[in-house]
Amino acid sequence: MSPQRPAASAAATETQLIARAQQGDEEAFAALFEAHKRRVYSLCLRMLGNPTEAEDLTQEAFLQLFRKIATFRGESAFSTWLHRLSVNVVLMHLRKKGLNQISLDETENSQGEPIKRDYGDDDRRLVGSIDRIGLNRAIAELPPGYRTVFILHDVEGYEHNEIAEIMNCSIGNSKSQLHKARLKLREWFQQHQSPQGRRSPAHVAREAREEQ
Amino acid sequence: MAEERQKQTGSFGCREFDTNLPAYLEGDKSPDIRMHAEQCSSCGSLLADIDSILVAARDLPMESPPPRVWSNIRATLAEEGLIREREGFWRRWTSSVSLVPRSAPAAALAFALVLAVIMVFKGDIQKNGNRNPGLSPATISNTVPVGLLGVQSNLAQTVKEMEENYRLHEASLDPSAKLVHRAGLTSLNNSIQECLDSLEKQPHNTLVRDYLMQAYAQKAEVLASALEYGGR
Repeated sequence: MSPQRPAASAAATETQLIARAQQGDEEAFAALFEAHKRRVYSLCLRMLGNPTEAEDLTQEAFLQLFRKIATFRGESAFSTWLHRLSVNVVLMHLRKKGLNQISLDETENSQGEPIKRDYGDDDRRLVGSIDRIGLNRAIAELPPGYRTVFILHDVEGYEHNEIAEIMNCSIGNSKSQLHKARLKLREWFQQHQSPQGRRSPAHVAREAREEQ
Repeated sequence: MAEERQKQTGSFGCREFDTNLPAYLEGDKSPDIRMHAEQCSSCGSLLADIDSILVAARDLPMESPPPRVWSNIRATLAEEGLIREREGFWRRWTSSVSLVPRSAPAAALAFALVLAVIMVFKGDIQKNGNRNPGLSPATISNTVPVGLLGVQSNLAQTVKEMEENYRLHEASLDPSAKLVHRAGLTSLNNSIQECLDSLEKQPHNTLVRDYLMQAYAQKAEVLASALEYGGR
């Protein structure tokens, strides 16, 4: 019961802020920005891989939000509304840039070669943990469709039904794209690790035993 | 090689592993996947690597945009007129103070208007230095009482200045209008005095403070009306 209380309180506070922002209250605008800026900016940054563009689109997303806030009636969660809007802002931007980023249904067969796995013995495990810098680079190099669904699902924590709604695609498509994105990321790490760095599963298992 | 592996791990081979892996990662924890991963190094590596990627993805930190992003947003909102002008001290005060009774919205509106008038007259007084240095304190019915809170003291001071201004213009007022204003002011001065007396005995009685503020506000309304009438 107690964990729900702060959430309910936060929601009530946000509802009050929205009501004040609808009246043009500057402090309410600032508070809403403060509450959501990191998530929106991080989303933009990861989807674009460019801080300047991420700043511009964060700004654009919030401006669109504040311009439309008078129409917000609370049917959906405010954060859902904001993040969907942010994703759309980024997608529109990518489309304007001419990148192949429209919807997942359209990109189903356009994300490059299907990922085939070699079942041979050289399919060794990646070394150590996946570092943050490498992962950001790998995400940035994903095809836009894969990147979007991976960020939304595995980084931002969206469910497939939400992604399907945001991306205007089927749930099955979202799942399929996500799996391909994960395989692509693994492939990226395999290609960017030095051969010396690769260890056999037996080696990894032995290390694990030694650590215990 | 794949066929060999298929044989090694029974009917659930690498191809079945690949087929069922997405569902497994989505939460459908079929034991076949785990068993196969334990027996097949290639599939075991794949599963372990994807797990590592998912853990790292969940732990990616969020980053903050630089402050200029909000500055730009704020400037654009202001330019487009979406930000309402900041409320002045008096308006914020009137919206926060608890007046009793507060049953009539019209009264609240009138009160806000009165305070706006107060601000105008206060501004005139301060700007024009319109005080009469020879004015006898005896002509002022209320001095600013000691012990009032900051906001209350400000209002009392403003009303006092309005009253000084009123006294300066009183002679030029229409005699009948002057009588009406005097009657109203006398009544309000009595109410203010009663409240002040009560506050001396009960300094923490918020109800009395609220009534006092109401009386000051009503007095300000009468004075503003009188000054406006006299100024025509």
